Amino acid sequence: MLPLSTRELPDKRKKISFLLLIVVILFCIPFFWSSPNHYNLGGDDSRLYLYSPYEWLHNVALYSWFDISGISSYNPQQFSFPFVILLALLQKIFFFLNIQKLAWGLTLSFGFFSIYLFIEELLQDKNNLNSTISAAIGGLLYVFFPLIFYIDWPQPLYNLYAIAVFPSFLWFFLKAVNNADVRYLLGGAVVSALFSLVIVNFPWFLPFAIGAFIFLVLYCFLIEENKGRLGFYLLLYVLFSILFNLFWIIPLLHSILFGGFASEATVGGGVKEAALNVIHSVAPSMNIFDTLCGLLSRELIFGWNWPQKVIAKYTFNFSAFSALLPGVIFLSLLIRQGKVRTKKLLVIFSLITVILAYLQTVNIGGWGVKLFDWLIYTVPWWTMLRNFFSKVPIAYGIFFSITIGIAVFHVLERINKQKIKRIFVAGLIVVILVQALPFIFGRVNALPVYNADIPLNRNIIVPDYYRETTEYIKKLRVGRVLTLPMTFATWSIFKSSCGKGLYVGSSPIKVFTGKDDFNGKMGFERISGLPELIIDAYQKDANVLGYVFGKLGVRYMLYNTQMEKLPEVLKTGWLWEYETLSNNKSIKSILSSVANERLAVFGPLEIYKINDEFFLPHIYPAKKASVVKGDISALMSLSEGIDLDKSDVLFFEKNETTKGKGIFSDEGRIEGGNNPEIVFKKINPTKFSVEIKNAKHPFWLVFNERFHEDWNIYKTQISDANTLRNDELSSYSQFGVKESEYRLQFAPQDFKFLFLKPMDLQHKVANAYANAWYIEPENFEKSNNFSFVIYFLPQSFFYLGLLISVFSMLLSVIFMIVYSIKRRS
Amino acid sequence: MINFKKIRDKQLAFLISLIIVLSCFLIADTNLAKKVVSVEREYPVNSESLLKKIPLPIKSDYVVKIKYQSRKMMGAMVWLNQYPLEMRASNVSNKLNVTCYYYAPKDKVMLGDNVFEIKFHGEHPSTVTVRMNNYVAAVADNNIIISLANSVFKNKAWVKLFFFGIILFGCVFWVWRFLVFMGMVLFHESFQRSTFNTALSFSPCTLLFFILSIKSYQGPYLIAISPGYLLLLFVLLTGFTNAVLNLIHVLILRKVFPSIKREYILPTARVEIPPWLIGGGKWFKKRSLADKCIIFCLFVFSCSVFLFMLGVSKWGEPLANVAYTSVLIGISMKLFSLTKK
Repeated sequence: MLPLSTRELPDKRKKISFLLLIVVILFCIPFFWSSPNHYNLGGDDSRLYLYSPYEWLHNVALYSWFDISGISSYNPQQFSFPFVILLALLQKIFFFLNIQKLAWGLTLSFGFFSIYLFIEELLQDKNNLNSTISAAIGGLLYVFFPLIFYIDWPQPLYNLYAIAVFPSFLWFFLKAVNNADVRYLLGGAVVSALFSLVIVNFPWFLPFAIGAFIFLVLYCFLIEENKGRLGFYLLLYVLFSILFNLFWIIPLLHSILFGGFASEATVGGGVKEAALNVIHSVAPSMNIFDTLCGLLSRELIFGWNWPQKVIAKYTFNFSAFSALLPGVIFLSLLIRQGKVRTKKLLVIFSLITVILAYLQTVNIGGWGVKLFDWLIYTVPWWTMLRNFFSKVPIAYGIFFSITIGIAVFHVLERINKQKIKRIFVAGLIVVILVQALPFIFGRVNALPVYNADIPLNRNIIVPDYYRETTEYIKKLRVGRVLTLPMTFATWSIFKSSCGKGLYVGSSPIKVFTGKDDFNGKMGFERISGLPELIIDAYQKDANVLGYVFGKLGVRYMLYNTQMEKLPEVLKTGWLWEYETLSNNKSIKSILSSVANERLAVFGPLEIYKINDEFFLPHIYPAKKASVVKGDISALMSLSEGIDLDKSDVLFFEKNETTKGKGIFSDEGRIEGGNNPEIVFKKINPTKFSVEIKNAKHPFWLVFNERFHEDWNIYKTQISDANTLRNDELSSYSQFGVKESEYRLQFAPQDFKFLFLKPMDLQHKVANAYANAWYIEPENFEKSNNFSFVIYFLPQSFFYLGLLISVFSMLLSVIFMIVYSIKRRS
Repeated sequence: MINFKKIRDKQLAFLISLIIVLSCFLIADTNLAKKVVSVEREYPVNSESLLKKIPLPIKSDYVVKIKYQSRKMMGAMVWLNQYPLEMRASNVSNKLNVTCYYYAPKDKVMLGDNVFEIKFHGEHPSTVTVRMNNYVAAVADNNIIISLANSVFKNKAWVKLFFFGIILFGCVFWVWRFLVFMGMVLFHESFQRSTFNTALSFSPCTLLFFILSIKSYQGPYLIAISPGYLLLLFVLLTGFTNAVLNLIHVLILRKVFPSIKREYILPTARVEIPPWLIGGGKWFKKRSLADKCIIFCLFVFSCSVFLFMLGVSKWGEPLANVAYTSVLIGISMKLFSLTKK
């Protein structure tokens, strides 16, 4: 008789080869979706981090002060940086591969593998062929789950990588508990830090967390014998994960608590009402039948003319076969024979699946919508699930697939005849593969950009002229950009250099050049009324329009003449919200009145410079400070008979009872001093170094970034600032301001600002959005000549978090090494 | 010697297959999906008139539905390629939307871009939604189309239809034979009884197709149904009716009226209920309440599958809700019993 190890070897090899084959096939699938140079780009997160990870890292990922367009705001983006670093590394190593397809291939193969491993770990019967087959079926169903490829793949956001990452969290934990090995917990925590961008997508993470929580509670009470260990490991897991993720948790928490973008997005006024509106308009289109079959509601696709309509007919023709999958779950629940553990697992996961099916559908009977309304009113932050139909699919797919895996195992254990087993397994695989054909063959990847009627998709090759334009803009260094025609939702539009691709998504200007782009509502939204202000200004007077642009720091206009030729369907509705600023005639009129100089032309893109008379430097001393009664719309009346200097700083005072909006109040006039000489340098988006000379009188210093109380001024030594003068970038003689050449510097040493005391200066909102400090020379040690740093303090919280995360990771690595050595010995 | 019973059975099958095939020939349309046009556009309005181009892929007569979002609009004139469109109906909803229906005749419609002009009386609406359909109504996920008599659906691909007819004939004939056979094997029916039940189960579908074809041929509207849907409808409707009839016969007629000499009414001989049905009943009785909930869910869910397949999701949705609720109860009960143990 052969020794046991030798007998098992061929089977183990077969199993590994079988798994490897599936993983490799899955990895290769995205490479066949489009030609090697095509990238699927566009949408809210633009996916430009896949196209150019280095630029994303350099211009976006590391700073708390960021916005995809318009005036920057407190919007910490650091959660994406570990993943983007990974992408940049992959791009360096696999320079010959399309990095997006590489990332997607890995998502598919790891998604399959993590579900496979988790089901196998749950069943605890690794030498059983039924277990391998069931786990593989679960994994296959997961990566080819129609709801996921209908919702998450057509416009993949950050959450796409959750397909691979979320199930791995479960596997790491279960493996640690089953093997009593803490190293798996550390592994899971490291994965959570590396893919932090999927956790920070809370609306996607919440349904998964709900499912995972129910699983852990029921697993602890019904199955796990060593409950103490499970509880302890869970605590450790959470602790490790939090520690490793502090680099983004601290800035994000600060942003939520102290008025950053995150707080506006989550707890802003009217969120609950908006959420209820969305639910009551979408929910009636949902039905539980499609959800139970793993499909997206047909009424949602056909009734709302979604791009998915193009492939939906195929999928729904097979919905009767898709119904076999829940059928298998229901049938397996009726089987009395079999292992107690399997039966318990089946009940636990069926329950989670059914609960998540509710969250995915909401519209169940009379109670479904009412319960969801109640959840919105009662549970804090439940509003993040307002678009429930697009947030729950990944979590639902995970638990549905695991349930199917367990159910298949339970059924296979009951079937004695090999033939029937084979037919059963083959049938399931055929159902899974047949319904996934549009996904496998790349039809999902090539769906129309906006609705089913548009003959263009998102697979593009960024045209050379676009990169030439952004390179040109990058060299211009100073001032913000306004892309025309203006579109709703910050979106820029340009055609692919070949094929039927169209880029429709967030402005790439920020990513490629580091400059803010005013195009779109998102950029303005946080200062309501700005787009309307621009429209009104345009309709009134060219000088007023130039004045407004100057105040907003807009220096360049990028006019895309290609937009005229786009399909008519794209020019309606949400995309062309501001018709005045989208129509070619009015754009030309704007350009001729405020931007006479055409700097360059690249293909259909024309770059214009706003007339110098309107432009204001990023930091400048105000000649005069005036209080204006009213809100930003009062700017309109400033042109009417009032002599206005562009370097005036305006403080708006909202007083509903005051009559005569937009009229200066006499008592509000504050006289400033003579203009001092100012030299400043941008270190990074959160830090500016400033040197001031000959400041004899107090004056208002305007800093043209959006107001936030955490913009602080810190004193520095004058000698520190001398270097500013070495390299002049731009000079504004009428203001006595010079700007030094800059190169963005990542400065973790600025962690020290947490322990420094900022200067106690009067800090006000200038021009309805910017910062202004009242600078009194006597507050500085050497009067007249002094220097300081304008710094955005929350950036230091990122450095603090990063320090703790790196330190704790290093400690854990040391621990793992010591632990491994000890375990072996 | 000639077996008259079998000949009668085959002749009946042949006759019914012929009626169904002939009816289907009149209402089936093999190119239905390609012919259906439904174009919807939403336009913001800034002035007293709106001029837009709408591309249409097929030259046919169209029903134009225009939704005006306005509180104070007095009326509107609509031109298609400079031809004034006649308003056939209107509907005011929520005091905000006014929906008007127009008819665009085939000879005024152009292949490709069609110029649409709307002039508003009174205050112009903020948005206008134009929807153009080349049919009057579409049901069962666009598998059944009711169109105007002069529509594109009138032209049929006769060669394709001929081949479909042959396939349909074969299907109907063999479904007949299969149901007769299954009645005998599964329900232990006699040949005559099974044939009788099969003939009864074929009648709803035969009648339905026959009436629809007559209506389509003679009425003001044209009915077009996709061949796949016709086949599906036939198989599901007939199969379901047959199963119900056989069950009724086995469970009710034989149990409730055992004394009646059914031989006079129905020429059948055997009385016993099939063993699988008895076994199934016993098995069901033994199951826990949780299992019964899940079995009920399976049954209701299967029914909703058929209804969704037939495109009547309005009926399928409530059934699916019932299935969901019952499985939720079933699983919860199972979990409760597990925690108790």
